[in-house]
Amino acid sequence: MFLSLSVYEERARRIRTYLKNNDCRALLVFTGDYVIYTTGFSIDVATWERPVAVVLPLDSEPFMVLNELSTYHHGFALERKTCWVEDASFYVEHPRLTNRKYTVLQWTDLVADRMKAAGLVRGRVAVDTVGAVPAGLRASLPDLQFVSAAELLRDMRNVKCPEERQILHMCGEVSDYGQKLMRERFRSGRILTEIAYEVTWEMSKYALEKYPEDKIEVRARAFCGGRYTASPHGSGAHAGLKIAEHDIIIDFTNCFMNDYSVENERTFIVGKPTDEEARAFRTMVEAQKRATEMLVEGRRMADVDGAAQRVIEMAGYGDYIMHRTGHGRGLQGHEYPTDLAFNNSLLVEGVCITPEPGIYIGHIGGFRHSDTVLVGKTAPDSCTKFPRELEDLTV
Amino acid sequence: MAFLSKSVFDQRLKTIRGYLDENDLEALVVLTPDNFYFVSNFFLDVAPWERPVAAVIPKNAEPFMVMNELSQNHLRMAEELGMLWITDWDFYVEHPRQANRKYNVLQWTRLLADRLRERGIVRGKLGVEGPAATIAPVQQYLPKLSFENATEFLKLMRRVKCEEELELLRLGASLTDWGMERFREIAKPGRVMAAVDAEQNMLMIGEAARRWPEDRVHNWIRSLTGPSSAAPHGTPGDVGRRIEKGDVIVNITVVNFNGMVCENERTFVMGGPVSDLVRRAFEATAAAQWAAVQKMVTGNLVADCDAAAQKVYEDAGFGENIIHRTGHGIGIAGHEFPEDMPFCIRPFETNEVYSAEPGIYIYGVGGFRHDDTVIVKPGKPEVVTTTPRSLAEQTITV
Repeated sequence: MFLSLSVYEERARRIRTYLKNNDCRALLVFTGDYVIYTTGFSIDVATWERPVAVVLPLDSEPFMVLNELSTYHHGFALERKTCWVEDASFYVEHPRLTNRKYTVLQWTDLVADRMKAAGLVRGRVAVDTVGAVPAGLRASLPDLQFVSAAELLRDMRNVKCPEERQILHMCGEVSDYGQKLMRERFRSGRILTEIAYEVTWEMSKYALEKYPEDKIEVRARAFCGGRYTASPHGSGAHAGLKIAEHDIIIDFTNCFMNDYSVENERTFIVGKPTDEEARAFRTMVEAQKRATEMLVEGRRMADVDGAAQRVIEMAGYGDYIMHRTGHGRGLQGHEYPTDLAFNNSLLVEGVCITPEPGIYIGHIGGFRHSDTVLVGKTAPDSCTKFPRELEDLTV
Repeated sequence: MAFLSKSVFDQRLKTIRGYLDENDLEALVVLTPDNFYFVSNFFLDVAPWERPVAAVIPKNAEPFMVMNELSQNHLRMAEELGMLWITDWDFYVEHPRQANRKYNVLQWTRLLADRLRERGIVRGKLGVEGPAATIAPVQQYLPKLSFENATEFLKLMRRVKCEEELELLRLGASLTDWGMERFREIAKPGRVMAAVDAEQNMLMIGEAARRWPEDRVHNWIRSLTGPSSAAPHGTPGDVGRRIEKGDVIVNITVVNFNGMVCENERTFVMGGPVSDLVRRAFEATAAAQWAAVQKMVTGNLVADCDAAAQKVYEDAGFGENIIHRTGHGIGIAGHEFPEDMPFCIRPFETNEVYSAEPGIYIYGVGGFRHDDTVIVKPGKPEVVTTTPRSLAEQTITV
């Protein structure tokens, strides 16, 4: 499911209201995520090597400047009605023999010339990232003043609209299916990475049948063993690691749909857990439950972190916490808020957070579940629903 | 295990300290993941925009790192494997601890400042790689320190690869070739393209696990079939597209083997005979790509490699169908500098690594692109990816 073009119109309306109130004549966007956010163009280049710009004037039509590589990608998007900005100018990254165009060396001239044609030559313009304004553009438009709109865009992006929430739920369902496949395959003796890539393959087939018209990528990964799970993001090596009896496994199954994605992580135990493992596991599950319950409009963000930490400290595992309880989630992956433990703002409906407190004990292993949860008016709304209890996750 | 050895570090350290000396800098501070790996051999497991880190190489003291608490066990494991070059590290926490308080993430630049002060680095200039604004608060604690941008220095330093890096590249390349052969076996009319990719990926990781059980291998596979392949990096939707008889397919197979990235891309045709247009476009592509590869010799101008491919296309009447440059530098980051091959007026240097991947794109028909990873050598380039390139070999029998 792609966002309807009306979502982008609504976003543009909000941005234009901001521009008006802040005496700005246009919004300029240079970074990949915000290109997607403001236009729906699912950017197909890395902007450090192939820069792009979106210009949304206060009172005229928006336009984009793109790299020639994106020519058909943009064309296909218009045919599919998944890109809100139709007017795109392309610079080339090779010197053409005929039909010369602005080259990549002149790409800011192209942006400046289009802005001049739109009458944007003096006054204030808002920018997604002031640091990203190219020197060449400043030189070509010396009477423009660039001011930051980072906070506006961040706040807008934090709160998911109903269509975005629906996509996150679709991603969640696919990721839950992946967890089920993982659980079926975890057996001692099997190579873990092979299981993960097999499940990626199976999840792909499932998602492709279900959503053939979308842009979907799935990813299942896992690490196992007391040693390696004690590092929250794995050991980074050991392509051939095999599952052993009594191993702890932490896996994740992600689904990216049309640039939105969820995370879904579970801890498994192969064979009968020891008392110590069971205690750490149950403490983690309880901490995650407490954190999730706090994801309700009006609660303070830092208190979400506090709620999980309290459970872990009370059980005597305070020394084994190695990261915050979670972060924002949405376009592409990790998002603001990144400072959950210290963020004193209040939650509002539609903010997407991953409650994922973890306990990491060097000689035993790591324990972490992660869900993708939308803040609700009265109750949290979890996009990922795979079972969480020790009994469900002992294989 | 094929991780880079400590002697690579010693060599890099020598070069970095030479730079510090020449530029009157007290230390080099590295803030971004690829360069962090380059100076420490540690695969960063956090994203610095949300979890900042610093690797510091002082002129006159031992190197050290400031890390996020999340990485602590990962660092210990890397040290046990013998791959961690910088073993003096400290970390800040990102949650407020009840006992054993530590600097938290809000104070991380203070931790960095205190560690610098302990080593007597309190005045003079630091060379900073990455966004210097990230560590600007250090100046509140050490007001006599100033910063200078050192990003360009690291960019230059990474340009020419050492023998050990090239060996990693060759191993990764052998897996891409193996993967392409599997693709040839499993791609069939009627199958969903993206599911074939996932299957190729699975087969390759199994092969990697058997060949190199102790190493770090990541693959990235993406194929585009039929008219969709006219967009070099894919369409905005359409993930359920099935392969049809007669389709032109561009398969992208990328392997990251212990930190070195290798690209291997091929155009396939699903069953013959092909139309005259497809044949001409395919043959022009194979010829253009080989012309580009042949230019990747020490001393030739980088831009001439782009020109060589373009000339073949223009002569064959496909100039209007070029929509990207011929290639780019490859290394730790995948795409690397130089990113401006058509305009890069300097000679190739021995042991630089490039992709050679000119392409043409015909709306309604598809894309035509082969991509090899090439090591620049005197006299004759070393092409590490060896999957076949001709139309006859790349036509899949159906």
